[in-house]
Amino acid sequence: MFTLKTYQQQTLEKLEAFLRRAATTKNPTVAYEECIRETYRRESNYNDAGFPNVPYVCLRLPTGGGKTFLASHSIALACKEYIGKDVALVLWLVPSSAILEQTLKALRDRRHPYRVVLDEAFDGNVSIRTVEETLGISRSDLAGNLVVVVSTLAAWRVDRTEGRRVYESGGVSKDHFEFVPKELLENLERHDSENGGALKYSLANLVHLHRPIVIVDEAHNARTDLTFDTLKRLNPSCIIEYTATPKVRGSDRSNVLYNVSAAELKSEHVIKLPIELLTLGEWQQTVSNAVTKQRELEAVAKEEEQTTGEYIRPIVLLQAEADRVGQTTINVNEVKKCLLEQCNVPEEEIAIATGEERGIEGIDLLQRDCKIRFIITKQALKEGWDCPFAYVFCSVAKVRSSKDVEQLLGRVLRMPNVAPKQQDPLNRAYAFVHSRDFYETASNLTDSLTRCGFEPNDASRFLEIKNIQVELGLDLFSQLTRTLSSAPEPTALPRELREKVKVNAKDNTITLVAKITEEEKKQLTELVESPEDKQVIEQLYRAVHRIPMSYTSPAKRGEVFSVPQLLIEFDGELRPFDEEILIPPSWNLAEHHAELSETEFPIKVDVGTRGLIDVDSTGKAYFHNPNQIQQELTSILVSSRMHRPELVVWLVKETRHPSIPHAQAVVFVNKVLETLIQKCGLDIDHLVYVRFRLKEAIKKKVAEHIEATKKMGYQDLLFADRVKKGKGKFSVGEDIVFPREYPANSVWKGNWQPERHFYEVVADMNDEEAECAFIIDHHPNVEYWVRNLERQEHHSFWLQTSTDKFYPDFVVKLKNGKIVAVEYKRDKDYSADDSKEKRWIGEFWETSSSGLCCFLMTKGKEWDKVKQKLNL
Amino acid sequence: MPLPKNAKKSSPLIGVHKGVGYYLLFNGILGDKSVDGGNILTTRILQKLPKHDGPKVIYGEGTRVSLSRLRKQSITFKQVPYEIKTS
Repeated sequence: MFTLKTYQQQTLEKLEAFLRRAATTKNPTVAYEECIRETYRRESNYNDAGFPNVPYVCLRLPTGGGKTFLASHSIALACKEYIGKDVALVLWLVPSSAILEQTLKALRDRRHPYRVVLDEAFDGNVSIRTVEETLGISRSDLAGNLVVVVSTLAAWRVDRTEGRRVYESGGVSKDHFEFVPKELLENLERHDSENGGALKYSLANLVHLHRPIVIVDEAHNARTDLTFDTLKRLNPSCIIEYTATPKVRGSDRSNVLYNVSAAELKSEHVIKLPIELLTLGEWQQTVSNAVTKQRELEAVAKEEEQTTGEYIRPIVLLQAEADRVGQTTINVNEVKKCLLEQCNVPEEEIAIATGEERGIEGIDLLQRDCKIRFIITKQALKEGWDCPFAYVFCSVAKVRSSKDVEQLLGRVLRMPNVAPKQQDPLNRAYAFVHSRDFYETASNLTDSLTRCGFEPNDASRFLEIKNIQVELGLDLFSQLTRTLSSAPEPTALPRELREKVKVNAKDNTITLVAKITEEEKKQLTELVESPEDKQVIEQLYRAVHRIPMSYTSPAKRGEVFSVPQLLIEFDGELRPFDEEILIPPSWNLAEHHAELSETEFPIKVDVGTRGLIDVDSTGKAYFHNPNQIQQELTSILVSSRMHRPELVVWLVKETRHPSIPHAQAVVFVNKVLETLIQKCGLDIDHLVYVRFRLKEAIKKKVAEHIEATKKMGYQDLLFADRVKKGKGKFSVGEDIVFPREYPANSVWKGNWQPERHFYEVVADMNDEEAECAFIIDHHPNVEYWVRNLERQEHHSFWLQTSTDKFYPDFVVKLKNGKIVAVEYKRDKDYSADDSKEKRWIGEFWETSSSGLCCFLMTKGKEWDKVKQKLNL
Repeated sequence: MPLPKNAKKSSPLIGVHKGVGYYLLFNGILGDKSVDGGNILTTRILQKLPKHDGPKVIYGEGTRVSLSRLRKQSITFKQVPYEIKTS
C-alpha cells in the first residue's frame, strides 16, 4: 500500500489546478499568477525563461518528501489535464548517471510504487526507455504507449559527444516523419543546404515533433541558459520541475507553484525531527558520545520491537577528515582506531565507505543478520544512498565542507517505515559535532538543513539543543559574551533587562543569559554609543535568535487543547456534522438529468476541426494551428479503435468519483451520450474525437449534481430542523484535540513574538489577521490560542458548510475554559454569500453549545468586538 | 492478493494477509434489506464491520466517508470495479 500523504495530495491538487487553468486560458503566466494568488494571497511574477506558451513550473519538496513518487503522478496529470491525450512522450531528466540508474530501476520494476502509478493511469501501456533504447522506437510504440525516456540533461546537449547521437540523422526510423503535415516539419532540423537540406531523421526531431512532457529532477541544477537552449530544441509541451532547493530570485528563478514545509513532512512521519545537537571540544569525546547514543538507541529499539515487532538497528554515520600530505588529520583510520580501542566497538560493527574502500556496497543494511552499526566516511556518501536506520550523524572533521554536512545530515533524517515509533527517542535524529563554537555549528547545521529544503525558520526550529550540553559545563550562554569598547552601567539597564543581560563595566563585557526580544535589543543598542558596539549587540541578538530556545509552547508542555465539534443526531446516534451526512444514502446519480447544455459542452466549436477526422481515410486535411493538428493526429491513431462501448468505458473510468458506484456512472454516461446523439445529432466518431472535452463536461456535471444535493441536504438538516423542532437534534461534543504536530505550510514571520500561541510557530497570517492575533495574544483572559490551519482537517478545528469545511482563523481557549473561535473578515467580504454561510454555521455552533463556545466574525478591524468576546 | 484459505463466507472481513485486514462490502451487509444497504461505505457501516486491529483495505462500490478520514484510520478504500486489477 503506497498512498499519497496529505501534503503530496495537496501538491498534486495545486499542479492539477494550474495545468487546467493553463489549458483553458492558454496562458501559463496568467494561470500561474492566479494560482499563486489563491494559494499564497500574494502577487507573483512568472518567469517564462523564453518559453512563452509552455507551462514551466516547479514543485518544492524537502529532502525525503517523495519527489520521484510525485513526479510519476504528475505525468498522468500533465497528460490528461493539460495535453488531453491518452498517452504522451515524456522526457524525465535527471542530474547524474547514478540517479539515472536508480530512476530507471524503479520505473522498470512493475511492483515499484513509481511504476504502479503510471501503470494505473495508463492501463499498463507504459514503456520506460533510455535514450539508446528510444532510437529504435517504432511509430506504433509511440502512438499506443506512454513512453518515458529517462536520461541526463547532458545527453541532449548539442555540444557534447553524448548529445550527438540524438541529433544524428538516421538515428530513428524514417516512418516517424511520413504522413505528417508539412507545417509540423518546418521547425525541424535539416541538413545544410550544400548537403541537400533534407530533413534529419534524428531522435531530437522526433521528440520535437511529439512535444514531450518534461520532468526535471533536482531542477536547481537546470536553470542555466544552456539548459534552456537544450530544452527549446526539444519543443516541450510543458515542463515540471522538482527540487528541494529551487532558485527563487533572479532572472533564472523557477516558478515555484507550491512549497511543502518540513513541518508537513514531520506530521506525516516521513522524517525524524527534531535533530538533537551536541557539540564537544574534543574529538574522541564526540565519537564516544555517538557510540553511547547508539547503544542507548539500540536498547530502546529492542523495546520497540517487543511491542510493535518492527526491527530497527540504529546506525551512526561518522565523518572523518581527509588525509593530507605532511599533516596529521583525524582520518578514517584514526576514527576507526578510536572506535575499536577507546569505545570497545567490535570490528564487525564498523564499515568504511570511502572512494577507496567500499565497505557497504552490495550490503543490505536493513537485514537482521547485518552487523554494521558504524559507517565511517570522508565526504559525502554515494548519491541516493539512503538508509532509514541511520540515526546519528557524528562529525569529527574540523574543516567541514557544507555540501558534505548537508548531504550526510540528510541521510539521518528518513524515518524507518514512514511510521511514528512508540519510543520517542526513535522519532528523532542526533548530531554530534566536534567543535568549540556551538553557535557557529548550530548556524552551519541550520544552513545545511535550509539547503536540504527546509525553510530557514523550520531549520532552526527543528534543531534542538541537548540538555547535556549544559550538564557538561558547556554553558550555552557562556559563549554569548562579547567585549565592548565601553559597556553601559548595569544600573542603566531597565529592570527586566537586567535579568537577561549581564554587563561588566570593569572589563567592558556584555553577556546574554536569556533570549532578548527585538524591543529589548533596541533598548540595549541605545545604551551603547559607538557604532561598533551597536554592531556587537546586533550580532548577539542574531546569534541568540538563530537558535531556538526559551519558548516552551503549551503543546510542548503537554497541555491538551480540545474543542467541541458540532454534532448531529443521525440514525439514533450522535455523530460529527460533516459532509457525509449531507448526501442521503439512497442518492443515485443515475436519477439525475444528464443533458449537457450548449455552455456546458459547446458543440459548434468543433465543426471546423471535424475535417481532421477524415485525414486518415481521404488524405485531406483542414488545418487550424499546427500544434493542435499534431496533437490530434496522434489521438486519431488511438481513437480509431474506439466505438460507443469503448467510449462509455473510457468516460466512466475517467470521470470516476469515489462516492458514486460504477453502475450508476454507466447509466449516467450512457444518458449523456444518448442526449448528445439524439438531440444534438452528433455521431460517435465526433464524440470520440472530442472525448477529452466531453470528459471534463461530465466531470463538472457530476460535481454540480453532488454540490446541489449537498446544498439541499444542508438546508434540510439545518433549516427545516430549526423551524420544526428548534435545535433539538444538534449538540456539541466529541472534542477535536489539537495534535502535537502543527503542519504549517508557511510560517508567519512578524515583528512581535506571540507568547500564548499553542505551538512554537504561527502559520502565516496577513497584516490584519496578525493584528487580530496580537489582540488575542495580549488579552488577559486568554489561556492560549491557535492560528487554525486551513485544509488540515485532522490538525484543525472546522465547521461544515454546504460546500466545504470552514476553518475559522483563530481558536482561543480562555482561562475559564470557554472556547472562542474568531474569523477575521475584511469589511468588503463580510456580506459575501460565503461569509454569510460561515457566520451562520459559526453562530449555530455557538448556540448549540449552551454557552461553552463562542463565535465571532469580524467586519473589518472590529477589535472591540474581539475583546468583548474574550471578556465573557 | 490471493484469497486466504481461512476466508469466511458471509463475513465482510474476507481475510487477513500480513497484518492487513481485507474487507468486501456487499448488499445487506447490516442484515437489512434496504436497496442501498451496504455496498457504499458510510460511517455507520464502518462502525459495524468486524474488528481488525491493524491497517485495513476495504473493497466497495463507493464511499461516502472522505478518503482523508479513512486514511487517518489507516484504511485504504478500493473502488470496485475500477480499482481491481486482473493480472
